[in-house]
Amino acid sequence: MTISRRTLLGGSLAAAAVGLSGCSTVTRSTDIAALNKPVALPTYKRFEGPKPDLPRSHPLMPDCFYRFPANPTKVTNGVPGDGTDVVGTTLTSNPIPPTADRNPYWQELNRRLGSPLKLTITAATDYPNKFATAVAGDTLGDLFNVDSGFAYLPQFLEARAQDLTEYLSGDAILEYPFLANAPQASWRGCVFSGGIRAVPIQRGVMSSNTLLARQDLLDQLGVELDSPTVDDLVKVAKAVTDEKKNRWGFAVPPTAAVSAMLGLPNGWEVRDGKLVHSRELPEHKQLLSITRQMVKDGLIHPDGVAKNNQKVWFTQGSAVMTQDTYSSIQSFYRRATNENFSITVPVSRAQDGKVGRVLLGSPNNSIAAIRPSSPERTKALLRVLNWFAAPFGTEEYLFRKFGLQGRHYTLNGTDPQLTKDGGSEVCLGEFPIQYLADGPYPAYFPGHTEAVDNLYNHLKAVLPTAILPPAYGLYSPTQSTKGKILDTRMDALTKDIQLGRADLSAWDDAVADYRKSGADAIRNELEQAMAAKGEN
Amino acid sequence: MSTIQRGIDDGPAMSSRVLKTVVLVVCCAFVIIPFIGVIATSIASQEHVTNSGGFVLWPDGLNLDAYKAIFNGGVVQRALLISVVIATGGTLISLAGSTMLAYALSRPGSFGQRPILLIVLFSLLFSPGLIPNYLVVKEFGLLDSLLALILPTAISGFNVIVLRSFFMGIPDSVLDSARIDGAGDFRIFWSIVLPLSKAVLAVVGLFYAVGYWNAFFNAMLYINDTAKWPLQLVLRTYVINNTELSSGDLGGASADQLPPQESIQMAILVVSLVPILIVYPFLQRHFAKGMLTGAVKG
Amino acid sequence: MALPGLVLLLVFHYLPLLGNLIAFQEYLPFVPLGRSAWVGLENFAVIFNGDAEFLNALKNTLLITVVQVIFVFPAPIALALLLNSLLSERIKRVVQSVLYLPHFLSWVIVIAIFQQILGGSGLINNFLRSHGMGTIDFLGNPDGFIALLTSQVIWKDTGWGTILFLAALTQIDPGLYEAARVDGASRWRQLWHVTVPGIRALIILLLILRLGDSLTVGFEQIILQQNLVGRPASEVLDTYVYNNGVLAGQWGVSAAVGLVKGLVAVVLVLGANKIAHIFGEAGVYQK
Repeated sequence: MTISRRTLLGGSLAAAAVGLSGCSTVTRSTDIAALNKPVALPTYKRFEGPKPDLPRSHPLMPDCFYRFPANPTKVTNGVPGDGTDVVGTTLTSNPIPPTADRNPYWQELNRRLGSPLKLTITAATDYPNKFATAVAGDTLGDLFNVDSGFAYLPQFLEARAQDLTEYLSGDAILEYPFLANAPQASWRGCVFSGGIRAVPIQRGVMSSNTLLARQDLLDQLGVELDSPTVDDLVKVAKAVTDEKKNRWGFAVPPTAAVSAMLGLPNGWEVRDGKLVHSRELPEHKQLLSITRQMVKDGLIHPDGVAKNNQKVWFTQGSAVMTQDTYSSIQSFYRRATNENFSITVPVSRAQDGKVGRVLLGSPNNSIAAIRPSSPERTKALLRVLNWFAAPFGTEEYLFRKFGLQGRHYTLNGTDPQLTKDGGSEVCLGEFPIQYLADGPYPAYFPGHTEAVDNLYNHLKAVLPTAILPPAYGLYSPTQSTKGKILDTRMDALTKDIQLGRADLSAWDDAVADYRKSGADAIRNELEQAMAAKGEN
Repeated sequence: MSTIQRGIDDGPAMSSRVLKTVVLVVCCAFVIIPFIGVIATSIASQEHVTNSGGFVLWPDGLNLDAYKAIFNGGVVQRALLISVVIATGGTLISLAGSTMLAYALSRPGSFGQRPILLIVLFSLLFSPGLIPNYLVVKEFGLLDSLLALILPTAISGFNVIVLRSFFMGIPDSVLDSARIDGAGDFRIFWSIVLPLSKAVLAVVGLFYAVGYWNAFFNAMLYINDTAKWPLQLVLRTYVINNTELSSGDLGGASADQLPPQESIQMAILVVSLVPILIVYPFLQRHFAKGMLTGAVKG
Repeated sequence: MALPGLVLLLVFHYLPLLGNLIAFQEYLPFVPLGRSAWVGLENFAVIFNGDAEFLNALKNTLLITVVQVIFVFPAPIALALLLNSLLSERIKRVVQSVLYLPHFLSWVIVIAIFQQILGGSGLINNFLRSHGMGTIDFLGNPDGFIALLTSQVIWKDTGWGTILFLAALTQIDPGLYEAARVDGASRWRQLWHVTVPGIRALIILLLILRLGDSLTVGFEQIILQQNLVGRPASEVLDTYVYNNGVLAGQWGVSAAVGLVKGLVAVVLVLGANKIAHIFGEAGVYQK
């Protein structure tokens, strides 16, 4: 048995062993202080590119643009690549592009990079499996997107990713101005075992969840939403719900808004010097009871708790309000068939009238790492990543997202619009390199300046309440191996309670069990991690 | 011949005929109505799809944008070709390996019959994990090769057992007479057993072909070069779209350039079904007719 | 003659099966196969810890298996017999070509179609609601979940399942029918004494193989609908293992469960085969 395994699999064993570089205690390491050892984060230097159309009122405010800047300028010189192939392992949520040999966009991309780019592309849902087998077979590319759910991430990155500390820590990053254009909050998620081992695919606040409402429908029905408290929200939902017309208040339970109104954190939070999880707080039970009542009163789309089709319901008008990311606003406008279609982003308020606290999600979509390489090669790969991160409004960005004028896009005013060829060759503006590095995510809804204003005003009101999730960038071994299991278990119970299949009282027992089967251990490890980072 | 084939249709009573008709019509309606919806959704306009909540029962016109979008860029066409190659080549390899294996197992007393049968049977009951499979394929140098999509799934224990049970149904007398005429094992297999088993060969061939046609998982793992992706894997990237920032959030494309997501999904379904619909009638002919009967009698 | 097929099986099935050794390890994909930490039977704890949720999952699994063996397994046989009794060859073919279509839809699509029709805002409930009638919760009713699963499987795979039986029916010697007719046997008697015995061996063979799969019930189908009915009603063995191990990248756990399921299947198949022998049937293989 052993013999045949050795002889047959010997190749990959040897290959894998090289990557390990003699670290024999890699498994099950629980030295939390070592795994969370701090490092000087890269200096943040905002790249002063095209000026946003609205002033930045807060460090977390995304750049707001009414239209694409006219005459975008080139902000890099020469080519970033070193002439040899760059292999990338990445994912996509879009149809795959035609291969390089028949894709003028890809050919031009190679020319501009100065290195032929080879991509291994996998559909996002399949990525965890693909990633695990590629890790086992040591077939990841020179650049690879890291599956964030992968167990023992620090140990993995220590073994298989280039330590980028000397290239990026502190002012060293200024060599790569577009990587330096990522805030330190994003870089926190790239530090493992005392080294910078990845680069962020930043999203800022744009991927956080929020309440969205159809202003056109509210107007039509003569209902005022404005800046609601819990009671206002329920009142509005009741006013707009009309079952006979297949119209409901919400597409899905508005947990983000209600959490904001109740002052709940998103996950872990420091309260009185101790970490607590949102699920343990009494307000969380209130959240459950409120959303449960909403289901009972028929204010939520009948399939809204269980099924994920809220985009259609919201666009179609069978739900007047929904919960989605800030960035989703654009996709709703794109789908809309109604000319008056208009979305507003209400500011939630607590019972006392104060602005409800915004629920920030992770500042990153994911992170990407570099295969261990020579210093020269590492620098070249970092230059490529830097190029991928050129910000909105630059010539590099325009090409990266929209391709070549004429073939891939046409200009509507100064706004680029993808052509059919652009759609397929540039992957709808989301060529999979966007999961290897990306610039800051702008608020830009072409053709809908009022939507940009609306979002801007919303963010201006809520961002002062923002607290970055304290656990982001901390590593807890228990979270790594059990976190997802516990989360899905609690989510399943949440749905049971909302739908009335389980009693609200079941929550207390579940929380006790949740703490016992991992959450207390996670808390403890996160606190140690914070201490190790010198943050507590 | 044909009356004999129908066997039990000997003066059916009117009532039972009516009953049968009703049952079959109901069954067919249950299947056809959703399928009309699939086709209707694939050719419906954005407005119609949105207003009906994502699924249209009857189209409001003929809108081929979804199909145009799928075929734009040539990726799907190439994948279609790859899939045809895999399904054809794979089915031939599978049928060859499986029938020979099943035939060897169907004649009692041949060398190592019991253990081999158990090996086949147990292959149905224990399945290897994702990662060991990947490592074996990699060690044999099959990554990025179409053979990686054929060889690992070439022999299905289930199909071998089914084939074997059909082969065992061939009367010994038929084979014995051939043996007396001096035919060797392979000769008997090729010119007597296989021709007598056209029905089950058609069925098992179909099982294999459909298996190859529908498979995407191995291709997802083993094929990095998108130029070699089979159809189902390419189509999957159109259907699966549930990540946080999904297509067009950045807003390159305007509404009139992108057909509704639901139409594309349904159009994809239609595209992947058409080749099967074309091939099926040719195979169906074989499992409607009993080849054995003719031979035994004739 | 067995060699090519056998070699393929050994290389691509049994060789990777050796990898199931990770059932006894905490396997991490970035550590070479042999060097992950050995953890004894720790990975098996998920199924042997007697957890109430696990026992519930096991109960659901067995219940679903029983219901499906009773309702799903015979469906294609009945349909094949019905098709076989049709007078017109053309109608037979058309009907069969229609009924086998759903087999080609993936579960994602099948469930989407069911939701479009039976969901809370599906065609039927929208109709009821707009006519002022009460709605029916087809998909989210925990008590009706097994019935729902079963009807989905029947809808999807019955037509496809007939194919094998139709092929078996062609093997029946027409002379037997002739003889029966000569003896004045009615059509029902012909069905019972000629047709059914003609495909009995195949039915038993397939039943034995189905029994081997007793612990496996449509993982994808169920996990896609778990949100709709909640875990208590829908958790089965495979989803339990997924929700409590695979989800967190615990490769060893899935290997461990695979081994246990395989062993159970061996016992079931060999046992069922033995019973078949007692009743004078061929089963999967003879002694």
